[in-house]
Amino acid sequence: MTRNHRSSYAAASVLALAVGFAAQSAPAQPASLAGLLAKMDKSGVVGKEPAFYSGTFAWNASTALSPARAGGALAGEALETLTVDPRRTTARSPHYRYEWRPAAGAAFLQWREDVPPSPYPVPGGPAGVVDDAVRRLAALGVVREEIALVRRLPLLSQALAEDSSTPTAPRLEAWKVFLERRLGGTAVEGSRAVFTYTPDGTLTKALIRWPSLDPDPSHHRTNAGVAPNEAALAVARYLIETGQTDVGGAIVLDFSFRSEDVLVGAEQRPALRLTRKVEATLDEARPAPEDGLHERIRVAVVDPRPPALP
Amino acid sequence: MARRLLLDRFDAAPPTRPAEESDMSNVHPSRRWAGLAAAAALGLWLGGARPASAQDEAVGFGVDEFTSGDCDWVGATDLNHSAEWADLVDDIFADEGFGQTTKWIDGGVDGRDFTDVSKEIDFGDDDDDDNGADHADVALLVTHGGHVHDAGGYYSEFLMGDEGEGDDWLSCVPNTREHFLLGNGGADDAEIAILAACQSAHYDVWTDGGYFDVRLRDGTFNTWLGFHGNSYDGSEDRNHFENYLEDSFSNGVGDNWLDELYRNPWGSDNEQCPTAVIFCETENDCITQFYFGGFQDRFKVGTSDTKSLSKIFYFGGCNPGAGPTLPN
Repeated sequence: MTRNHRSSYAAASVLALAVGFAAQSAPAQPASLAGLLAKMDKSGVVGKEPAFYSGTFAWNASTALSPARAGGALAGEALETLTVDPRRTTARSPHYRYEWRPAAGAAFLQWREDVPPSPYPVPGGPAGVVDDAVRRLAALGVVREEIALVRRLPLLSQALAEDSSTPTAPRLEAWKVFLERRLGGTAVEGSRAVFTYTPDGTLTKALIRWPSLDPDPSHHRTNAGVAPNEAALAVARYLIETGQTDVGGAIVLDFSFRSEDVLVGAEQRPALRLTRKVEATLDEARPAPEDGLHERIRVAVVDPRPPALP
Repeated sequence: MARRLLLDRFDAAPPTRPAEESDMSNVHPSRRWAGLAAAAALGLWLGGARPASAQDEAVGFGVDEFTSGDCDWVGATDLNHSAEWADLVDDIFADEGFGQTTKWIDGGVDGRDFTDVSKEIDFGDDDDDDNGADHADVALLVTHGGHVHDAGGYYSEFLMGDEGEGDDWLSCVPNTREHFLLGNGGADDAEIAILAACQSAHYDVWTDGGYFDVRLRDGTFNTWLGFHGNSYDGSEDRNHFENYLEDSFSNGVGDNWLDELYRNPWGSDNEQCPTAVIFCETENDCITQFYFGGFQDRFKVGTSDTKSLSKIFYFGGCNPGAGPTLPN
């Protein structure tokens, strides 16, 4: 343990770090369009011509995530509504508590704090949690073609006492299943479902944001036919226009659906209208100096074919 | 008092939101005193608001501008979404009933806001200054960050938008060892801090006890949320942060942070690895706060607990830029 050190070290080290940051990290300045294009990593947009999902857009978060529906599909037991206000509805079942935010298409199911955890593993136990998560999301009415697995990750914890120099060994707290929404292989930004299971595979939490989409497919802009070079050119022009030319590392391209909020249907329910855009990650904007400041990685989002002004 | 009335939101104030219209959030409070004093002299003094300590408070600090201002000598790149994160804190906590919410951006963010005078630094002002991080219950900082891990110590550091009073250049880059101390002034002090910056809750710093320095054993501060390795500045992250706030007023203040801010973009060795560090007396206390603490009730197991234990939560195998892969 060295945490009680007090010295004048900080002043010297901060100066050294800052000088190092400024000196070592001075990026190559691609002054031209060609310079930026040379930094483009287009592997994420190659071979991703849109096969826009041609099925139904009937998923309605305003009803599908209601406690009445979510009780059976998510919790496997009836949810009793407790409170309703303009921001959220709360409910509970014998084992779970539930929050529903209809306007956002969001839901939060969690094992109740006042109920002792009991083993109730899903089929297959820990090995079955991905299938279980997909099954529960589909049971809410989400079409399977939209559901994509990002990762199954272990949630670990370690403890460290103030008077100790050795942390405890990593302990498995839970399994996390990250699901995202993909239409024709392109991720829909902001739609995500994260399911949490105990180490034995008992569902303890589902954090879901899966908003309704505008049910009229023609209202979504897929930017069909945008080739990798066109995507790269649009990004390069945007970076020059916005002065973001100080890129030291690669510019990593990917497609993603970005959304605007709209109201649809006779009941004017909230939904998303999508546009397929190019996401450019300005990876390692500057080389990181040893033991110094690191810059947050900027992500630019560019419409490769913006609609003509009226 | 006058500056709070002009800059902050009070539950006793009229329903309009003066902070939003003030357009002074990028000017540090001390630099507004002259104008505010003049306003008071002109009869604009408004009385009757409750003291800040009697209510829930949240403050958001976000720096986008690094290429101008007192700290431009560091040579960092401008960001795009930091002010939006601060806006979200200002808006959502007000909507959820917090009595006072505040935002500061760019030049309004300096070392005084996150440094403590008890650490024997002359610019420490985080709890004496009504607008400092330690005057609120929940505080957010969005900026560039980093960590140091060598014989001199283990800590995270953060780049400010302004060097503050006294032109002390050290206040541009305060760190968790020499400068930060939260929850050390009384019942109204900070309990939760969200540090949206690279290496802000870095595993290597935690393993060597580096974050014990930000709290006191008998203080109120209990939850430090941040990232191991690099973090991202994109609209997607901003939207996930909005979801995180909306979801975490009752429960999940730690667990939801990890669920919402995890990111696995195209490419390799570039995951965003959110981490949560909880301070408590027993492991069960930490676990309870991680899963069942919320912005409304904050430390579920009681603010009287001794914070002599630190527990970190992370995703095993998460592999960020600028940081080793987390244990699996």
